[in-house]
Amino acid sequence: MSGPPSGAMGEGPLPGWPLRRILRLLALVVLYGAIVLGGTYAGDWIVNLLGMRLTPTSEPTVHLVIMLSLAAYVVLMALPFVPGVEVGLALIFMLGAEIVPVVYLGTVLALVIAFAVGRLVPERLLAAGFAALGLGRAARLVERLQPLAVEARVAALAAASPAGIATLLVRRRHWAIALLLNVPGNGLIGGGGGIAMAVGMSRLVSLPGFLVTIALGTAPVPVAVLVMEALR
Amino acid sequence: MAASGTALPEGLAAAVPAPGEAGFLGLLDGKDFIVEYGPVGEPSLGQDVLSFESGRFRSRGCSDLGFVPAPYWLRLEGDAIRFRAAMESPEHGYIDFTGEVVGEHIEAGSIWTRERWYRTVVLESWYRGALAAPGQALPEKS
Repeated sequence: MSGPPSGAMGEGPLPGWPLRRILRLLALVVLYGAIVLGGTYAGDWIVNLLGMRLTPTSEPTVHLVIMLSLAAYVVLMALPFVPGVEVGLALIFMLGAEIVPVVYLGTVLALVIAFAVGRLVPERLLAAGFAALGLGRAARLVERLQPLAVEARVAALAAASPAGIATLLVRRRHWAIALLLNVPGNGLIGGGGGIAMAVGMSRLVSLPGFLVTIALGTAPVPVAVLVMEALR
Repeated sequence: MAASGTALPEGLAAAVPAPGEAGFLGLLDGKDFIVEYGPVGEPSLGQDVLSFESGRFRSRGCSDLGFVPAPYWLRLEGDAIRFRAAMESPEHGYIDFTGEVVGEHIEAGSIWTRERWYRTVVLESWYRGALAAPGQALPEKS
């Protein structure tokens, strides 16, 4: 015999990829897929309910759905890689401009929650989590940054990043966050919740700084809807 | 004329007899009207009964939802008896009814308003029908 069958010693079907790592990645893909699909179906369900005719009989149900939708919106928005913004847009399209300020405040609340969760995760656990996911470079980066003060972290990140855009993004991080929150397709890098959680984990932005950044960074769409409504 | 104990809206006082005249109350009191109703601009959703009883106006459909029968005001304009009433429900907001009765026919409109902390819902509806004949069975539910 030339050796044990593939995988018996932890060797996966891909050269250099241990079976455990492949299974771990598969589990992650399935988990995120389930979250994304669940979020999408929840959004569709809410949209259908909000389409009900408003009468004294149906209004209490619709009101309850709106309240649950707002709660779901905050939770979904706070979760990385979950398309929660669909629920907020559905609320705006179904209920009109008068719900925009509420959705806006829900967005800010969701991102603050995600930021706080990221901020409250101990860096040791964070590094261990990255390591468990096979993200060795990220884990080493967190371990290396852990003892440094904020300014030293910025300098270290800038030094470790490719010259140009990465350095600029780290140094102008508040602008970068605001920009990322408005870039279509940001769901690929975690969406609003993922970005906010990552910012919290990075310890590079203070809570007041983050609050101001997202308050301004998430304002363009609500302001645009309100302006369009006013011009109608 | 207003139902007992209720002030007349401004502008109506000169058009109606003094409150308390039994003959004026009798213009509509004790009468039931079977009507079709629906949201403005849309077809009928079914039947309702609009009633004037003891100086109070009620819609059977609205009463079923908890709207309390309310005092009604009357105003005479030619052959038409115009009426107005505002009903309130602890759970569903309030409904303003205005309408007129000409002969045995009634036409009315309502504006239902429900205020929530984040928005105000308004629904306008129409009502059209005729006086129920004595002894005629009234629709129980729309």
